[in-house]
Amino acid sequence: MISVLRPKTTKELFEILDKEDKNYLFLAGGTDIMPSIKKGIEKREDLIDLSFLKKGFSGVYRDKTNIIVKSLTTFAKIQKDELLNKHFPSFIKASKLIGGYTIQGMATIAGNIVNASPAADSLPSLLTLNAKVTLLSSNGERIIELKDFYKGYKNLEIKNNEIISNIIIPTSDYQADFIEVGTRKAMSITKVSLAYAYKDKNIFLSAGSAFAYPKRLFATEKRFFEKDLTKKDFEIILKEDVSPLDDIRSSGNYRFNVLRNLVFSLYQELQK
Amino acid sequence: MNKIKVSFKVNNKDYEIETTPLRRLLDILREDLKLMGTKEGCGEGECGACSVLIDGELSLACITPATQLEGKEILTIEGISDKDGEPSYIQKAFIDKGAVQCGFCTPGFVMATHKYIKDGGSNDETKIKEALSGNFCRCTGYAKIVDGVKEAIVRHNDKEAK
Repeated sequence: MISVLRPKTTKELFEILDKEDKNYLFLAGGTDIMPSIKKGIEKREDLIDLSFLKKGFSGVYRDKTNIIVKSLTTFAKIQKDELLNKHFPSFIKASKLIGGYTIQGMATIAGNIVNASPAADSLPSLLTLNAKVTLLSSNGERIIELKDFYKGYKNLEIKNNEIISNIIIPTSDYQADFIEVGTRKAMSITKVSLAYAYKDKNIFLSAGSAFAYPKRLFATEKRFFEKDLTKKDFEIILKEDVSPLDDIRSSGNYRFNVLRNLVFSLYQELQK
Repeated sequence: MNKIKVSFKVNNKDYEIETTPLRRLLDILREDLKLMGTKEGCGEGECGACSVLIDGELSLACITPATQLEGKEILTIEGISDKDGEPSYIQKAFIDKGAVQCGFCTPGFVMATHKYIKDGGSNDETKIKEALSGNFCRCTGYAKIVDGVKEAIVRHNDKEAK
């Protein structure tokens, strides 16, 4: 039987989490959870509604070296935020591809992170920007790199008594962008995407819908500035990083070929 | 499922209901409050037919659970009609520009348009399309809906100028 707990304060939330070691389902924007429960995909029955905590965990601010996005900030708020627009236009571009206008007004950044979809639009961009997440529990905070947060398909580096409180994005002078391939602009789920950030001979790469979980393309990054690489070379290199799946939106083979072409075009562009 | 009590406003009227926490706002509106203007299209947050405003934000009633309604102010298509149930200027502009065919998606589009104009939206076609990007129409091909929105903006500006 489904039960929904409704903590009114952070203190109440941690009392619930510390009482029993249980894999609670956190209800934030609800844009993934509500359809998943309806379709029977989501089987967990113990929910915690975070809507009473929304005010405290919403907003964007900066410290000396980072822009910090609180976990329950919606993508609509993210898109309007001046700091994020100024420092991370590639992330703004990616966040505009999430669902449509209605979904963006409800869906939260931490929801996109913990849902851990290989096709999540905001994650490749956040990975190339070297984002970190703050995990909060009654014992305090720990900060973990987003690239270390994913361990397998929907398998996350987070304990049952922790919630995500912040997403920390370090400011940098890297050039970053995001390319998406899909069937239409709004309300579509990405077939494949590529995010990158580079400066001189350093590059960070990440691809969407290319692996069981969002990840950086470390093997490709390492060899990216070698001279005279061919499309065939990238085919071999990329195989170390990704293995896209077949699903209703696309075949794995198609995704792989498109991604290889995107990476190779970028390589040619940056060799100039 | 455990039952909860939630208090909220719909179209400026106070309600307190007892229901299960994951019951959809869409069902509360249609079944309990008998406000049938909000439609169920896909039922999973894809099509925008059930769009309403919650605390001023365009939201989907089919994926909004009762537990998240505490203290919220909800505006539905019934709430934007002028007094005595006269269609609002947006609805009239849609009718005049042929933006309504079967009409099932129309309440959602009208709510999205209301939100866009309320936020000071301009006549820029790209911006209008972005604002309507969460709403699907299977009849019109969208061109006439965009015309309807542009017409509504003109009428809104005329009204403001007076």
